[in-house]
Amino acid sequence: MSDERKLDILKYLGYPKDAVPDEIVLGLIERSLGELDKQARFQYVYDHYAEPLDFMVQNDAYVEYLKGAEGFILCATTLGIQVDRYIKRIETVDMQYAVVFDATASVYLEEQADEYEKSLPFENKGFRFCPGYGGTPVTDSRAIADKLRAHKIGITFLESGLMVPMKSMVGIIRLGGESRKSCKGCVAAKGCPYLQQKTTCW
Amino acid sequence: MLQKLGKEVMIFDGAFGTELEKRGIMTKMPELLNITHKDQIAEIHKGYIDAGCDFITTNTFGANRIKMPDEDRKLVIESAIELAKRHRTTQYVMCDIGPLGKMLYPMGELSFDEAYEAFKEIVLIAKDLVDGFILETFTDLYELKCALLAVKENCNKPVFTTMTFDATGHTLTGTSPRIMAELMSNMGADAIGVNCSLGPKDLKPIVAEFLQYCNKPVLVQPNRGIPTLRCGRAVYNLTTEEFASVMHGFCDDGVAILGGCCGTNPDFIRAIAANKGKAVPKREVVKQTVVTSATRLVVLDKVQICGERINPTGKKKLKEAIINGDFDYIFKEAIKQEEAGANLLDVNMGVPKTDDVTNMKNVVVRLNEITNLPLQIDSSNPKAIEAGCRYYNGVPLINSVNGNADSMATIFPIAQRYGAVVLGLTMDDAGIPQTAEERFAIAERILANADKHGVGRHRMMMDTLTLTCSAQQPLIKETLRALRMVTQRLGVKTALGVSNVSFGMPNRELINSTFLVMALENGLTMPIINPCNAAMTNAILAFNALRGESADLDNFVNNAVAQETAALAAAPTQMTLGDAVRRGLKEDSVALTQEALQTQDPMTIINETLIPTLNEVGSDFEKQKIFLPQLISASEACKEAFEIIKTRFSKEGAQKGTVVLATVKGDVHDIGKNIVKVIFESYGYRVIDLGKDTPKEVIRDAFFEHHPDVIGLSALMTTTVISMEETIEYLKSEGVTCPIYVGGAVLNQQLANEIHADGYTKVALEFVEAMEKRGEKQQ
Repeated sequence: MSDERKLDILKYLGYPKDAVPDEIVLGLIERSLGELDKQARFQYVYDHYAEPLDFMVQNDAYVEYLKGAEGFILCATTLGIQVDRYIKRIETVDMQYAVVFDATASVYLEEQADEYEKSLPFENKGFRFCPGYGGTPVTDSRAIADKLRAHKIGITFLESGLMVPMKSMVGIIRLGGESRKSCKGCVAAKGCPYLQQKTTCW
Repeated sequence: MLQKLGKEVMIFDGAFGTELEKRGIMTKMPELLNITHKDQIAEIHKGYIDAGCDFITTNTFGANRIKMPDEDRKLVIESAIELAKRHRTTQYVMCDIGPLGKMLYPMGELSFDEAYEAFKEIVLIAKDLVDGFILETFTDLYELKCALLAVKENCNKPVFTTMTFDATGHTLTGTSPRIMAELMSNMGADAIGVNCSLGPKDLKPIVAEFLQYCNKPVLVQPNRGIPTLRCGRAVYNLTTEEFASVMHGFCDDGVAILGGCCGTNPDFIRAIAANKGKAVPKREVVKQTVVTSATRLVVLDKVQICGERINPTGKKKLKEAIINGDFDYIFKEAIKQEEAGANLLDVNMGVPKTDDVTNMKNVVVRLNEITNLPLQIDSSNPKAIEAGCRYYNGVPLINSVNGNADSMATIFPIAQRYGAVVLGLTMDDAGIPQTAEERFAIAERILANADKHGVGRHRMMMDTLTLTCSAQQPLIKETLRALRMVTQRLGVKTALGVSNVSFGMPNRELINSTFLVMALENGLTMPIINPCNAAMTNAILAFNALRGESADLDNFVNNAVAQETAALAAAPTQMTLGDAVRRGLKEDSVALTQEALQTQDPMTIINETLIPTLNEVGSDFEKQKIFLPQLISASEACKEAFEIIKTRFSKEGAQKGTVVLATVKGDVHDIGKNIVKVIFESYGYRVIDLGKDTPKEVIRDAFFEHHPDVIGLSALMTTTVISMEETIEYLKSEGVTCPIYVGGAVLNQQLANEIHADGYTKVALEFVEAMEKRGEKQQ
């Protein structure tokens, strides 16, 4: 994993940009990465669409994201249920490791997805826009997952709309267009610890 | 049907979705087409009948109350069956049951019992109208077991089971074909195999594994290759010929039932129907004594350690943990034993005046999630054994049955129903016989009875019973002789509770390890021991090194080196208790607390060392000198120190207060709540942790049972904040009087006010500090 990615893990663990992590935490990140290579079963499904789907048309954030795009990809990805089980297991005996592992797993999923997306046969791919960004409803994840038959890669939903396995993502990748990531519309912007430190969670 | 099954090749139909798409009538709930598009559905079945299939699958894959809560499922299922029958001639109509679309608890929120009821409903509607059931496309062994029980317990029609495997050779939840085959065939499925997943060529290793280990007819229904999605449609590329040529090969290898899944159509079925009626070649199936979890298979063909630590007999701390419902202690014991080298774990919840049936169920369900090791369900109460087996995910080992007629009549049906392996004790109404010959005779009797109940010899183990040498020294050799006789003459695998031998003796460890080696030399397969005791595990390693293969010798050497290195690393260092806590060194914190207790009273240690250290750590965290991982490790080390100190106080004296914590209903993300828990415990609070996805009623009950000083609710996402608001409103309306604090990633003070929480803190430490301040004010 690149050093830049490791900084993301530290950011999730509450470290400010310039903080120097101790050897124990760095060791735990390495241990987590080694364990993720064993436990994770990365899966990814996608589909290409030319026209926005109903739920996208009704929300300004999606419209804004897709402005100028020539179609988009829907995607769903997961590290699999064994990672959830492993987190439960280590939470029982070592919370420090569990917290580091949890943060590492989130970044690991992002990295695996980014790498996979490089191989997709499309030009001008934008950043991955996941339901929840820009104030879009997290529950839109289910609509995307249904379209992709994401249950085939093991993604299921709770009544509340949360995904199981926990380390799963669904999103939209625009093809063309120019929108940039921003905190506009984020429900957590008020009192956001990242913004207070003049950084962002992404 | 059962007369033909496994003897001559039979043909299943193919995909339904593909045919619906072809006709332009695919919808989100294709089962409703049984009502709205009857003719088209019957026509699809006819296509497969004309292609030559023997089995017709009803259009009921998702017709369950979880996926279709608001529909008339009886009408949908009955209509589906009627349509499957409309054009049939000689074909068997199989009611199709697919997964419910939700993960079972504890990974998800659907309980085993709810899932069972959903499957049972389908079975009761269909059982008198169909020839059998097919449970297909499952990815979770636990859910498949649940569905199979629902069929077997509510009708006596044939039932086939298939799971979906990926290119790694496992289901998405980590189950191998062999593990599935072992459990399903033990539980009495009539045909077992794979569907969906991949194309036939990629399924070859998976099919080979089934053919090697599955002693029931094997069923294979591949996809037409791996699809690509295009604007919501799945596109498949394999030709009929490519598909059929691999399927012909499967037939030659011994597969008994062929069919197709996603992407196939009547042409594919017509092509494979060329094999119809061929004699199924005989297979040599490997028959071994095997216990499994969902992801780990343990073959009892060599020494396998059964960890004995989750059995309260003679273990005061475990007994207290069971009485107090402190399951975390039990789970820690499980993980410790697994890390120390146990191959399976004994689980016994037998404490007088406790509900061992419920405790067994709850512990087994959570252990399914926490450990990969297979479990030995151990109880003298058959109801507790049944609860453990029912909610276990895999092939359990039952401990135990004995030569008593009632015991056999009770235990073997449980073993048969849940597919368990059984440990027989060579004793009966008259107690433990003195001689090896008498014990051998009981073993024979137990095996004969097992056979009558359909529990084959490979699913039986024998325990020739360890007696204490202090009281019955002459009988030790009888145990060992019986062990040898049972191993050699009956060919069954054996177990012994080894450490019983040394009760009442000095130098127990030496007696235990010596007896262990003697037993191993006489054929002992599964010593039930404490795997954390190095003398015992080292004795096994040494025995294997001397008696086994060169790899065992290497294993011994590597372990010896690792133990020496660990001993050097653990050499005592000079540090204070405060340093150990600050640096998060749990073992040093425990050792230094024990040392401190020799010269200081407990309150002095708390007030002059632990609390000031925690305050210092907290202050460093706030100043960003240290961060979340260090804060947690210091808290965990402090908690360990408190655990030691607590033993010097009366039960309640050491506790500052009680806190009830829960992640609200609908949310399974509980890492934030667990951080809060560790920090509260490090400050000496008693924490009642209700876990994740917690119904509001459970929180109310916890309030009235434990009278907490505060309730802390956690939620990760905006969607579950709604559940938090409902919970708070409910708790207040039910008379909960203590303050309710909230926390979680998307919360802030304003939102907390809106949902009528009494307090909000951004980070865990602030919550604890708020409670500390309240405590000071009250004093």
